[in-house]
Amino acid sequence: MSVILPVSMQRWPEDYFHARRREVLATWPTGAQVDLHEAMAYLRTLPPHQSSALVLKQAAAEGRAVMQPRAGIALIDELIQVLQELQEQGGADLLPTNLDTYTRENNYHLAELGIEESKKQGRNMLNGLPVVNYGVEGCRRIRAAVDRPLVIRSGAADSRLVMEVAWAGGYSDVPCGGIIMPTSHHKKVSIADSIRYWQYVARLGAWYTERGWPINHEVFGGLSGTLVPPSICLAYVIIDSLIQAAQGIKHVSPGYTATCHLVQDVAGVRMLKRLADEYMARFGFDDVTATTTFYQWMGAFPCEAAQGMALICWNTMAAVLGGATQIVVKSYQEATGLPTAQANAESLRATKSVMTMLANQRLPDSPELLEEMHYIELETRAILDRVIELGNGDVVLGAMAAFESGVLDCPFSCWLPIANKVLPARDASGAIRFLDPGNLPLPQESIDYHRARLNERARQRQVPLNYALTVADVVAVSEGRLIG
Amino acid sequence: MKVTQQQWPLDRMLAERRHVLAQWPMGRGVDLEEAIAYHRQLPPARNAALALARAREEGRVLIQPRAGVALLEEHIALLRHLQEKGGADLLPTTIDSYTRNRRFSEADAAITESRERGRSMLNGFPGVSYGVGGCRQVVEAVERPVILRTATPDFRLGAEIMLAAGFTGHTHGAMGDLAYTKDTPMEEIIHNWQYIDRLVAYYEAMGCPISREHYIPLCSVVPPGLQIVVTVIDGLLQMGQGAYHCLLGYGQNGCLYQDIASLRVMREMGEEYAARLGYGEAMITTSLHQWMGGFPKDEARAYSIICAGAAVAAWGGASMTIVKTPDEAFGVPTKEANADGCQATRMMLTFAAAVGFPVGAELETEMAMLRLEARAVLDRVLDMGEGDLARGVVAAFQAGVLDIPFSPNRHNRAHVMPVRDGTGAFRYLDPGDIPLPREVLAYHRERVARRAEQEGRPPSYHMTIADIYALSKGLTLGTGAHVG
Repeated sequence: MSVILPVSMQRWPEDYFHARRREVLATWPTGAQVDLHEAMAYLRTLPPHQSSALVLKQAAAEGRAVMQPRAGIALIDELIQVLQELQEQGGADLLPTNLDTYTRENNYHLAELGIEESKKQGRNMLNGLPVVNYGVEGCRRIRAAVDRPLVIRSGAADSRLVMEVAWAGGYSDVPCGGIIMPTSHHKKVSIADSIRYWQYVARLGAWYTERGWPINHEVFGGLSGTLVPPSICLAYVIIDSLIQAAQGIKHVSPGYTATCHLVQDVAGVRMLKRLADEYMARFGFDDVTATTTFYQWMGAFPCEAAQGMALICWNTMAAVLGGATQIVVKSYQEATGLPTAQANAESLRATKSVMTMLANQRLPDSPELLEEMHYIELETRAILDRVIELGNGDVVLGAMAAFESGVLDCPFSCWLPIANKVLPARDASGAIRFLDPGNLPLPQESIDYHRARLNERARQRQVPLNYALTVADVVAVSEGRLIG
Repeated sequence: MKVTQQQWPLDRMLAERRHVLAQWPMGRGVDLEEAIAYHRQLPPARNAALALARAREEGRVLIQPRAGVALLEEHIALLRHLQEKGGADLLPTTIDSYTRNRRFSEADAAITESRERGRSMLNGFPGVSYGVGGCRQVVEAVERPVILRTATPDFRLGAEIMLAAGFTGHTHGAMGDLAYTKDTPMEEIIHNWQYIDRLVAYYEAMGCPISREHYIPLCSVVPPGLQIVVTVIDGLLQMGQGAYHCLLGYGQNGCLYQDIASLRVMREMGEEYAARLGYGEAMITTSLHQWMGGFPKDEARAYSIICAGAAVAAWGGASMTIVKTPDEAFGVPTKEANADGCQATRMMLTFAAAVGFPVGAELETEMAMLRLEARAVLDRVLDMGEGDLARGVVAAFQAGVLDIPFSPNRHNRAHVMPVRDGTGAFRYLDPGDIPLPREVLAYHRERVARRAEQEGRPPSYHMTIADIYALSKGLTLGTGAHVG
């Protein structure tokens, strides 16, 4: 069956999926190592605590948060050492493997050269692990060397072969999203292709899940990482959660990006959980477990280590008080490049220590929190309902139409086709507001509210209300300030 | 020796001064009228009392680290580093133990030895040994107010010399001294601090305000209601002598809502009782002491405590925070580590102050209980002195109505035993003879019982002991297992 089905929200038929698999596995020699049934037999030998899906589900049931750092280098033995340090010294609950840029671009030839160069020069020449080149066997070596669930961290448009290899090798999680990845990482990829690539990954995850090795799908909420208003983040991750769920996945963890405003972040995480559950149920995906993932600040970090630590601690407070299930941890060396394993472990321990001090406390209801939740809910629903309407109930078709009209939009995206009309700025308390909502279908109540809050700041500072505020806000956090 | 709350007649102070200044040759360098003239020519920006009053008005939190070394030029270099690299608003001068104990000749010898060995052989700055002239070199070498930090039953000579040198802040009072003296009777301690307060009042009457700062020993592990009572008493004792710039310090215990509630109620109670006792003109500010218990050896965990403390300072409405350092566990910190603590604190203060902390039911209940407790105990103390606070304090310690846990002073009854509840808040395991209102006692018992039930063991002093060490091990509760 070589006919490509038109893109839609429909679950792929079994034979169609397997036909696509054959094409994907043929793109690099290690693809031939992947045999789903052999993989399943291997995965059945792994203990349940090595499944990301099960670890997250249990943490959510106990009201705890778990931590995941980021890490990836060219050589597998060195990566194993890093992961062991993150597990033992950092106390990481889930262990990452970031992909190198060549692999993200499906350029396995150059990735191979990167491995050889790294060996020859005796230092790391890639910014992540070229998973495909190492194949299933390589992944299983990593799996055998550590005890926590393994997660591929990829911003790739097309991670199909990576996930074939990694999941057969014992990984159980990946940040994903067909509508998200173009917005967050890719200049030119077509939206239809991107959605298909991630439908494939979801379909593959569902295959394993259905056979008893539960796979988690972290829907990447990082987006552009730059002043993204919470309602935009929520709309994106809920849409991609629905698209993934339609392929049969059972464990999803939509992500939320820290704004660095404590109340707004608590409101965002709480509303994400509530709306994700509601919309999943509305589409009949009641049996999907939705946990939440919280990303520490995705914008520019301060250069000073002490300030980096403060930022990490500050974000953790919001994540815990908001009841997030998973915290994806930055390092205090973020501003200067790839962190050392030690700095990464220290950042984890600082995160853990804040979690411990807060002793699972939540931010109690207050007028400020309820107000913030109200507007996030109002706006997220407005965008989601419009997307569903544009697709006549098909979220994929709706999202594609929504991008064209700017109903879906995100500030500071690198993706060329995006409308790019939304402009955010912080208000006087540091909350991210819409300076210009572009064509987002926000209710008037919400537009007025944002405008009023921004006017407060402009009045207090005696500056005009324009994009200059946005520009100042983009760099503020890296300079140790919340508001520009 | 009988003490009363009455302000000393000026003659009494002047008569006693002759004996105090004769304690050591450097005392001859103090000329009160010349000192007043010196203070008057200092720019207002170098006055701690004025800086704190202004911070209160503007809702800002000033940063003060701790520092003190043996050699004058080294001490100056240290303070300049904290000013420039750490961005400290108030600069400390911590006094060494010899000077605190009036062993001035040994302090002199240690200065010589420090010079010979090229490193500081004292745990602080021997202000008396350097005399007025040496101390003025410190004041003139920096651009921020300089605070004299000490705790000892008799620092009268040190106060004379250093205040004359242009120091504008002086820590501690009678209650705060109870951890630093084993045998000295309460009356004698109160007397010696009344001398310093009377001296400060003299400066103040001449238009040279001096900040008096109070906090109690081991404050971080003392139930907050008791911290409030005892610290407010120190403030009221100072006001009795006519010293009206009063900074009340609270020790962070790591429980977010209890720390915020306590700081807010401490200022309320300070103002309420100052007004009741006729000291309505007092300028009362509060400060947050970052965790005063054992610090973790791990820098990362130390940062998390520092950062949480800074957030609490902003949210509790403090006007100052005393900063710990990531090296705290290892003794006197390096100047770099000290500046790092300041930088992390500054970033957290900036973020937390912008966002604010919404008041929820939990915070309101905690504040209500703290008010009930503080009023009940303060009223009883006043009753016992028949309206005279100083006499009431002496009687209250004898009767155990005032009782500070873990104080080594033999005149302190030491029947009180604190313990953390399941949220990390400090409660009374045993209130001894402190006259807690029935409602407050029931609240504490219920919260402790809930923890005991969670842990499946009866509440006991074993929990207390474990709790005291817990935070230094990266735990909040001494459960023997990681929480969260």
